[in-house]
Amino acid sequence: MASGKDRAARQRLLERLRAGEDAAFEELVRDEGGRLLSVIRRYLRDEEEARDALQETFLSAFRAIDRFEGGSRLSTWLHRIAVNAALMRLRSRRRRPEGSIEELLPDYHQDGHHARPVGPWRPEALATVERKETRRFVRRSIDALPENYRNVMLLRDIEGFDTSETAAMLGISTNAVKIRLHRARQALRTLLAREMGGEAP
Amino acid sequence: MTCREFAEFIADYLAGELSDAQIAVFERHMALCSDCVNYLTTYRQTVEIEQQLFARAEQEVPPTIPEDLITAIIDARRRQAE
Repeated sequence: MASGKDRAARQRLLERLRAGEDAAFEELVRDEGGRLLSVIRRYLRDEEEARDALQETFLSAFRAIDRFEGGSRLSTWLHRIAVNAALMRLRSRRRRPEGSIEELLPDYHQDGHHARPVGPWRPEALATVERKETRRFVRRSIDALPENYRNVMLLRDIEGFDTSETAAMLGISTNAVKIRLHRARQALRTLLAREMGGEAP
Repeated sequence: MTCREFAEFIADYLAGELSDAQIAVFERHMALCSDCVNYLTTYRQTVEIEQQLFARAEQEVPPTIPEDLITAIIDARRRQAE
């Protein structure tokens, strides 16, 4: 992939892209397409939609290549365009009804203490994260989170965007990003706890 | 500090965004409340599991792009250029 190329090779590829060389565009798609497709699939589970979003990513990048600042890496720039293309598709489609996050948040007594004892997770359960079926369960749990929360969690914890970058990409306040990230992690924790033990369901 | 308040500080605590005074209050609660110690630990484990999931998925299946999709993208660019 282009990110694996050395600096000089990346610079040459960029110059050929700017010159509009067909072979350079194909090289870029081959180098970066697979990685970007797996980024997009985090947001779009439908394969057709993911493919369309990848196509949009490259078309947007090709159109904007002259505006690309050589200072950052091409792969970093493309990553951001891909995430934006995926988010745009999510925004444009009709929301399916989703469960509320409230039911996945911890319960407290009126005095503010945990309503039920919270135990540690069983070490042997944690070890099963190595196993395929546990990972499928984790993935299903992430998919079960309401979209507004899941997206913030993916952008912050997985893509590595910071709070203000995430806020700008979603068009929400930095405070909303912080709250949603925390709620999403709490909700995922509740779902995982059902497998990992340590507390009553 | 109650457990409910403790939970609201967790993300900032892990991100290193609490003041020394807030950290002191947070850790004082932890010294007294095993439920919150467990909650904090499992919250942190949740984030680790989440991050491992995506890292591992890519290790196991090296990201590839289907050949027909490469062709479609190149064709779309050609149409756009015309």
